[in-house]
Amino acid sequence: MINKNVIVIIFLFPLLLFGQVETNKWQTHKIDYQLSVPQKKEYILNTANLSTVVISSAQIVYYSLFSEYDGDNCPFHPSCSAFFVEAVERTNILQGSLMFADRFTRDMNFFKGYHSYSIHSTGKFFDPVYNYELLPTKNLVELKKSENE
Amino acid sequence: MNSPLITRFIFLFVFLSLINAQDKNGYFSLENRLKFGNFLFCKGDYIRAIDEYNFVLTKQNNDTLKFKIALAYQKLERYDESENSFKELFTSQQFGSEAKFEYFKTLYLSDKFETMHKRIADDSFIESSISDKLKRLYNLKHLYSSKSIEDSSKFFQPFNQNESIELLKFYVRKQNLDNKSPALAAVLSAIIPGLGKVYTENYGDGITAFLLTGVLTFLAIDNFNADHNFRGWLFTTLAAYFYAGNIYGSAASAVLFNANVRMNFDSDLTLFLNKNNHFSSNSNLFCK
Repeated sequence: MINKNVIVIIFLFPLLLFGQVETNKWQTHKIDYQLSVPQKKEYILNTANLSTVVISSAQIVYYSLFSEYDGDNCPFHPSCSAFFVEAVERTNILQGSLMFADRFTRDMNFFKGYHSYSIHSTGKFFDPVYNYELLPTKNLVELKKSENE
Repeated sequence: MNSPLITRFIFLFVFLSLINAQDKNGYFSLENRLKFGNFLFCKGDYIRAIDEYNFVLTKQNNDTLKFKIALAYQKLERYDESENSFKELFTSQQFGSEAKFEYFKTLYLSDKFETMHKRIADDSFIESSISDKLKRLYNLKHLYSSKSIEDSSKFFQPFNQNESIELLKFYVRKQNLDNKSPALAAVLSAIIPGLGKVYTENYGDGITAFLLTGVLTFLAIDNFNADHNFRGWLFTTLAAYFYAGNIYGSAASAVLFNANVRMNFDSDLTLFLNKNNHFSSNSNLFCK
């Protein structure tokens, strides 16, 4: 004859199993406080047009000789050099150069802060090229709205 | 020895298990899932409410649930799904006209103003009960437009007195948006470097531009005076470059300022209209 205690255990054991599932929810969670740096320097020649080939060549030289050793110090995203290349690509060499001069001046402003720029996921001030392309207000608003989304 | 006690225990466990099983069947009954879906809908948990409603719809046809699913998609800003769901209800006796109105409202919320205008013009079966609400929506879209509203009396016509008073604040604000002129900003920076930036309220950038251009100009003059012509021309070129960059940047700064003003206005207006449900409530239809 089957031991009656065994039957009792058979009934009790599944209940304990379900109990175990609930306690799993309350395990400690390992938290990583290290900042993630998704931005990596890309040594790629931009061949969109002749101007971008020249500017991105200069950018690669700058990355290799200065930026690599100086570190990631630009407070903006995209960085000033990347901004220059993108500005020339999106507009032309003249307008792109003027946009870079303006960006460089803003970079030197000691008082720039959170009230002027939104913060990018890299922790830097987000200052995209399209903000300075002199786009019609309607188009710029749409771009900024899509940026917020 | 203990056998009667153990037998009682076994009976107790079996009995409790049966009760439990009975309860589970009750929990997941069609009626309870509908109740739970309604609860989730009213609490704003639309994703899970849609799941519950879809399950109930697999067992029975129910226009109310289809309408609520479409409303839920609208609330979730899944406008394409919402449009399609409302379209399916156009022929519904119970929700036909409301579905049509909510369909147009979905087009309005997804900024498809032109489509909305065209569909309203093409639709000859719009009932009088919803035409007033549609007029309101149609007029509200003018507040989002960059063009100024020409005829204010027509704009306020579909709204009652209290609504008109509240909307008047936004109407006046839209007519007097604090925009900056890019041309004026460029001219000001051409006269005094950085002044255009100050005009667009970027004071730090303006001061920096003034100092940078000033220092480079001083260095150019100083080097020319000391007969260092190469360095003189080098600093002259740099000063001219940053001077020109600042003129361009001031114009760009004015454009950016205007875009931010426009965005703040749109954002405040959207918050206000959402709070008032665009003066065309349907969400409280199902929740007290």
